[in-house]
Amino acid sequence: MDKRQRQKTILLVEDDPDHAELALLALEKHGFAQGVVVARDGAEALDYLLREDLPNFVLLDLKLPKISGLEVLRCIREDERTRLLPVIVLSSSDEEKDILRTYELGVNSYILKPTDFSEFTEAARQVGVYWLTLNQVPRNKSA
Amino acid sequence: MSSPPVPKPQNSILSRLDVRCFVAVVAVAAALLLRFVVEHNLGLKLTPFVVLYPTIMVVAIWAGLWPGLVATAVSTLASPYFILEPRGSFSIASVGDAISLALFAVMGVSICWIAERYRISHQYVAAMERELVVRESEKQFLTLANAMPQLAWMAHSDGSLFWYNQRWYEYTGTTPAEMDGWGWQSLHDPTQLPAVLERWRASIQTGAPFDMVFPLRGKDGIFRPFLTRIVPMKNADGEVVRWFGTNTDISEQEKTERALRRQAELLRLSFDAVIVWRLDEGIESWNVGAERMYGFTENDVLGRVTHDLLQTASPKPLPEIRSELKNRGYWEGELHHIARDGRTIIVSTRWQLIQDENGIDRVLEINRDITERKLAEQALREGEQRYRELSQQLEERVRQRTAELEATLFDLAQSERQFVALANFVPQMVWMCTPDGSNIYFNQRWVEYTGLTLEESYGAGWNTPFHPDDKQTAWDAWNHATGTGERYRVESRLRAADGSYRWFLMLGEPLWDDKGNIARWFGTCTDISELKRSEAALRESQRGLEAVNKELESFSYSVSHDLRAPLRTLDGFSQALLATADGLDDKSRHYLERIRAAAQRMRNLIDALLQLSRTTRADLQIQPVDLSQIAELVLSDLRSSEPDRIVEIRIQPKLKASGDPQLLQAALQNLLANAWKFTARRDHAVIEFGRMNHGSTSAFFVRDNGAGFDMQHADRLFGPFQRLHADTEFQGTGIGLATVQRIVRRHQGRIWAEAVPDQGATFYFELDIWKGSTQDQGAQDGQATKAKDDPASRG
Repeated sequence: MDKRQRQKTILLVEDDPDHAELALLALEKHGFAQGVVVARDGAEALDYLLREDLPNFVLLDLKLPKISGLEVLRCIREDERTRLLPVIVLSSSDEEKDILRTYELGVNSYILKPTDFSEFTEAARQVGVYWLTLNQVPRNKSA
Repeated sequence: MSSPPVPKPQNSILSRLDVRCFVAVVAVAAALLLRFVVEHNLGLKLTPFVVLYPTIMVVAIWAGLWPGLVATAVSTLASPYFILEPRGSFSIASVGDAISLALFAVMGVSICWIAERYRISHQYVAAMERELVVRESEKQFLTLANAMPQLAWMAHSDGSLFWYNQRWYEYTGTTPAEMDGWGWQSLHDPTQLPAVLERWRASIQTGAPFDMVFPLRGKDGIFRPFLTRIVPMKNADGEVVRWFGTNTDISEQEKTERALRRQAELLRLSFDAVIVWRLDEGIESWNVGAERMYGFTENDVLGRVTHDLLQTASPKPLPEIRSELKNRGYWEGELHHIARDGRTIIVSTRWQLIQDENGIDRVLEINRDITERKLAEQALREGEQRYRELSQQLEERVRQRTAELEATLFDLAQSERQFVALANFVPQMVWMCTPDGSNIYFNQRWVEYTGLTLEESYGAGWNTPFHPDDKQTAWDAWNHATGTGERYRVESRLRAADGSYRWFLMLGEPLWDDKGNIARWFGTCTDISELKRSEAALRESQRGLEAVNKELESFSYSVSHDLRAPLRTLDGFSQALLATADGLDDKSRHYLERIRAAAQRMRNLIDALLQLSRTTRADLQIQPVDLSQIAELVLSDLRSSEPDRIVEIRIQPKLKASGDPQLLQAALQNLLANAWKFTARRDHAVIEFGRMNHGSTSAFFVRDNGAGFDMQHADRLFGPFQRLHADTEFQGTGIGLATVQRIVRRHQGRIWAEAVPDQGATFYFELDIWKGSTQDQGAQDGQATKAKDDPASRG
């Protein structure tokens, strides 16, 4: 089935419930909140990716319990099914080494989580617009 | 000896008989005529045969028998006609006339016969006399022939020898019988005999005399050369009657000749010039040696005067030499001659005065070319002179050298004393080894420490006090050094006299001689046990520090994230609350705003702290950093954050420093942000960034004309969380400057500030100026130096 025609889904991987809620709020503001699925940790996220249809993109926090965000990213990239799935890291860390590592692991984008909420909503809007509507993904992943 | 035959007169016409008879007739006729003349002219009466008788006699005597008879016959026949009556006819008148006539005829014949007899006997006597004479002369001849020293012989006209003189037989030891005829051939050299015979026979044929030299064998068997002369004796008819020959022994002569020839040859070959000249007439003889020496041929010089020809230069004037020559008979000396080609020739000459039997004075001049010898002598003299000079120089140099050497020796002794004194003074152990690595010297320290004696330590004994685990290492290092000439360096433990071990650093250096070989090894052993301990401690503390650092890192890391997280929540929900348009009164709103503000402050603090921690942790990447550019960027950012403010910005362009770009950026960020902040109240703010001299050094500075601060509290300026202004006046974390200070300190720089309250503040900081090197792209030329060390650089 054509992904573009189906409903847009976003997988949000965030352990902090407050942040998750705030993120939803932000996305809601711009009408992207419908298809948002929240995973509380890495295991949940991977589990979801295994079972369900792939979302349009993944918003991944790095600071996760149990499995770290980097580890999740690596697993996503190693799995043939999810190899080409767009992953956007949304992290508070502006450490060079984090950014470097995620790019090495094949992240599509790295966004700093702004502390200021208004900035955050703006960022959410941009992300949504870009990754849901502008960005194209290959139709046939198993090609 | 056979008697010699009577020689036949052959040549005269009168020898012919018919002629003589004719003459007889003529004589008779003449006699008759005479008679007639006498009878008729003189009127004398003559007897009839008076004239005829003498005539017949004369004719018979002179011409011989037959002419006489002819005369008689003619007379007899003619008489009747011319003398007897009747004259004019042949008739005879009377018997008496006939008898007279007959008697006349008989008389005539008798006369002829008598005359003939006379003639014969006369001839016989003459012959006898002749023979006597001949015999006499032969005797003389023989005497002579036997007396003379030559060999002599006679031969018949046919060439057969019939007589040899006494010398012949004496010399050859032969007998007449052996020699007679052609026997002499046995005395000849068989090889030459054919030639001799040929010539002899030729002469016999032609009657020509001949000379020849050939050898004849003496009775002793030895062949000697003889000069042979053979002459013919001819008769009146020109026929050879006899051959006379002499053989003269010329062996002596030949010897002499040979000797003379040899001498002449020697003379010719002589390298000496042999010249004979007459005092008044010039050169007579000029040998080959003279030709060679002077280049003139004999033809050139004959008749010329030597001293003109050769342009003689003599030690004494020529007249003097000549008089000496005359007095003493010779003169010896040296002369200078000029050869034909112009070369000067020095000769040793001897003039010998020779007077010949005619009283003519000649000089025999013999010259030997001594030019080379003279030149050699000259060279030798010069050489000797040079040698003397050199010798003197050498002596002088030797003297100098000796003095130098003595001075050097003194210095050497001195320096050795110094060395020993020094070596025993320094706290290290000092040692010396030969090039092959065996020890020859240790200073006192060694002995004191190890407790070994010097004897025990010499040679390979140096290895003795090494710790067992280090012995081999030391050996290997030492062998490597002595093998390659590289520095010897090894850290080993040495056993002290009390048995304990301490760490020592062994260092050794080779001493090279000027041939490029190693003459000695010098070295020290330095006690590094303290050093080792410190090193260990340092490593320990380093490890500790690293651990601490790591902890800090992870701490900061978590701080930045974990602390921030709740802030996000705070701010997020506050905003969300605010966003809900209704249900909030102004007071609630206000409270919410204050919550947000607090969250904001918290965030700033955390950011600043993070930055501060990062400045300590981060590795410095030293690069050329364009501070002016950074300042521009920072200030333009600040401007765009508050576009309404009027701020004058003065940035000195192209100010480069050497340092970590990120950190330096952070530092400038802080400083400029401060300046921006504290000039907020100014209507016309001025912010400057540049470099200038400050006293004796030069530093970068950020200046503003803002609020400034009280210098009294300046010492607290850079302390973290220290604030010199109330938060109500100016917001701030109080960390910024601490960060800047830490950054500057990490760059080995200094930071300080000057300010006047309400007028402004200037923050100075020193950084290495990047003068750049060719290795960096886009860098300036030069090398990184400290700004403060370079008084020549100006801001």
